[in-house]
Amino acid sequence: MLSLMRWGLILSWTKDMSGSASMINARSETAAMKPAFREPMRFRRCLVPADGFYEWKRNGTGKQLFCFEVNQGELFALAGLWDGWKDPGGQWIKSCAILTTTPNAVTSPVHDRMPGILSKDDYDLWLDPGMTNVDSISELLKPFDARMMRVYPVSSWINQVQNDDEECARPAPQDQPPQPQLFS
Amino acid sequence: MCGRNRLSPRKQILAERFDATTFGDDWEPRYNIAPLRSPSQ
Repeated sequence: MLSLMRWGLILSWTKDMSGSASMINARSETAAMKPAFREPMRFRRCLVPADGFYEWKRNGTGKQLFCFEVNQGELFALAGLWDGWKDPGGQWIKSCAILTTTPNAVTSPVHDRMPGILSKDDYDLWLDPGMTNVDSISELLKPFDARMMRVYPVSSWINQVQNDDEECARPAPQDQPPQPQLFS
Repeated sequence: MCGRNRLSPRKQILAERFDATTFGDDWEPRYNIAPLRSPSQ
């Protein structure tokens, strides 16, 4: 089943959704041991489909944004955890967090973590509600094969969340760090 | 990480790839999915 979810996990037992902002990611190495992620890791795993993800890299005083793709923009699935929370009005809100892992050779120059990308062959096991052995599940969250990924710089257009169009993914010249100011 | 995601394929491609039987009618390709917004499962 495909469904829309809020990105930022709201745990079912929390009183409000204020903590969800800090739970957009979960470290795969420790998720099974953290109170917040222990149950979702065992019982509420999901796939977060994507055909690209973006990360910022600091360069000098600014930041350069990069887009990462698998197989030239093919659809892939990130490893996610989800939960359901009933708001004060009685409305159920589904939310999710994306698991992260150590970076591969393509992502490491930009960030010290990367999202857990699942191989197609692992989708069924990841989603299997009968699979509660988190050690086996965690084995699926190794860094994705760098040979199947590419990275390219994109513009700062994506910095504004209201900008949600093809321009976000368009390759752009890499910004150069500001040059030292020269005085005559 | 505090990145953004892209999910730009058409609904039919998504449904086929993930063998999905149900899907919202209001689906639109997304190029800038930010935390605290609404990515898809």
